[in-house]
Amino acid sequence: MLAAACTRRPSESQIGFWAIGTEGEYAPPLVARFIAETGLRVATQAIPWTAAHQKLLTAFVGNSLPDLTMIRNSWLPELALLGAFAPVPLGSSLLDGLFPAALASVLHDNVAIAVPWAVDAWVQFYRRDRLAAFGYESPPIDWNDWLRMARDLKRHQGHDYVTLHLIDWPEPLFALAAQQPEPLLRERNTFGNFRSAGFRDALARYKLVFDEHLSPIAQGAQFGDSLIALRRGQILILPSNTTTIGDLQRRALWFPPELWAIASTPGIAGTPRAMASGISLAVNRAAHNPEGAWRLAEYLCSPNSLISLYKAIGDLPARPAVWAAPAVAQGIGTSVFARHINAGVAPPAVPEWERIVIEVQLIAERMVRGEFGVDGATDEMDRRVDLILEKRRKLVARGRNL
Amino acid sequence: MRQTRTGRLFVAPVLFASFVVLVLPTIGAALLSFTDFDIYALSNPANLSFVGFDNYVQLLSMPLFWRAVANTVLFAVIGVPAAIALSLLAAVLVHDATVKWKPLWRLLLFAPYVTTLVATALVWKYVLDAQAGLLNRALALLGVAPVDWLGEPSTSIPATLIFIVWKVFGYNMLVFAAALSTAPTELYDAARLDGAGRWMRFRHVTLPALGPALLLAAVLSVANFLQVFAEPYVMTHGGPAQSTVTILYFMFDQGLAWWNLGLASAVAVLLFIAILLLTVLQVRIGRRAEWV
Repeated sequence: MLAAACTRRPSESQIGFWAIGTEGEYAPPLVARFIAETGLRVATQAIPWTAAHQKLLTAFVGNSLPDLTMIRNSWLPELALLGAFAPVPLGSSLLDGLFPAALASVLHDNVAIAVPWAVDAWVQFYRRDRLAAFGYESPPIDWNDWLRMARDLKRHQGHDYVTLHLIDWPEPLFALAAQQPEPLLRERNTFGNFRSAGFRDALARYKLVFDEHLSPIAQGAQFGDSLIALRRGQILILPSNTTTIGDLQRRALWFPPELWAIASTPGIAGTPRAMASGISLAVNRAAHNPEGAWRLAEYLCSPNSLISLYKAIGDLPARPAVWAAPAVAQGIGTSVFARHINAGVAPPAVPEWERIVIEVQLIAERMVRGEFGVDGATDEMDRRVDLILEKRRKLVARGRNL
Repeated sequence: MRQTRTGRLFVAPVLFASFVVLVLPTIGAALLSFTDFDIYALSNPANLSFVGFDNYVQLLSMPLFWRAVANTVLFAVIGVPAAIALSLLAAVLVHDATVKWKPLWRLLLFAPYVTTLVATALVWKYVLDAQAGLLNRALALLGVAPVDWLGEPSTSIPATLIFIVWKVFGYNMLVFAAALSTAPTELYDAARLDGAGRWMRFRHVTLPALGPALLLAAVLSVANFLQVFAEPYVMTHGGPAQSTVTILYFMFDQGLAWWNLGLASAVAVLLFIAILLLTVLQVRIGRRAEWV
């Protein structure tokens, strides 16, 4: 009888939900509407991106994952390996009408282990007024033209900078890496391929931006608010993603919309490309309330929810149909993002990817600070990445299907 | 006989608890350090294998591990003397007969030790900030150009040390203050009559009285400084360019961020042995000076 008293019926227990990053601040109103409509109880916890990866893994080990969580798509191979998430139920409409790339990123062994929620891309936010004053309508999308413009702008900027590549943010380097044809890992993803001519070329271009003082050498924590720097003209171009749309719209009085615009990330071959990225919703395989978790996922993926999320923070829906809604279609930069999302390059689907990205960026940082040349840095990157992939190599050699 | 049995009975719960929460996990970690426990093993125990000393061999070949060792040694070599000297200075000053409001001074100087680490670390981050920080503002008055204390690999350890020393000196100050109050005043009077100046009195009366307390402070400080983790974790995340990655930070990163528990356990075992050996050495030195 005691046991019966202690176990609540699943449908009565509350749904645990982890909302990560800016979504953590803006999901509560959506969740509140869900609660009002369904009468189900939801406990939302906001988590910063910097702590999220570690917390997801630790929670899996400690058996304390929430019923539903947001997750970055590039982390899915890791959690798929652990079997942390429940497959999306067969016949669920949640997988209908998605961007093909977004759907591909949640499939593991042909099973969807998460529902794509938002898609993202790496683009350039730029000071329209300042660039116009120097004779540029927008930053060129061909890298060589872009570099010429940046050098010209630097002459006007003096001690200030043209752009901001935060030294602990991997996105700028990997946007350049996504432009080149060679894969980042080789031999069934068991070795690093950073010594390839393509990546070396990307790294050399990355280094140039710092060598010519087009960007300050600073970590995110030290640099402070990048939008303040953009507003003051300390930088003229801010490479960033969709969250910056929301940040700029919230501060429209202080940073009027006519002062900024969005352009594609410059491409080496003239075509804008960057690493594909996005956010999905995943249900814990050991959820206390799986039924409620799926209902919340469905609610959060409904067109209405996706549109209000876009309006609040600029998150672009993973469903092309919703892009037709006026609010999204007429949004600033929507067409730029659309082009990027269709040309996104998927990161290698290995559980070690997050670690590899951090390790490669650390070496890139040390290169920028003068410890390595380009060739020395790529040698070191491959050495470290090969070490990270050692266990994977061992298992693949043993014939494990990974 | 009966007394012995009662004594054993009294210590049994403590011994049992120490065994369960200290000895067993230590043995567990030592065993784990001979396996390749990682995220693959977490997903399927069949992916776990015994690898002998491979983790240790790998560790010793990792530049980042050696960098972490070098950083930690730097923390300890500057930090231990600085913290003990500051504690000693504070204790001697507060002990001086001419100082008024002694309890208040003691309270103020001890306060950093008991305040929350994360909160004080955030305050110090503001103090050390390159643009708006108090420290750079103060230095500017002296005509010194601004320094990006936490943003430059060359200054990040000294800057973090300023915070750590400020945070921990209060504890040893209390230990020293207690030891000072046991130094007999007659000795000071006698030394003064013999014509000993301030320095001679400190050297020949105060220091010998402090001997055992100094040994204790040294042993604890060395052990603490070799385990620096939270301060760089909160203030710099091990950066910039991994210049504040310490042994414990490295272990945390390998173990809890990436779940390479085999490798992380090997780090723990090495650190355990290092601290044990250093402590034995310190106690030997103390014994020679007849402080134990």
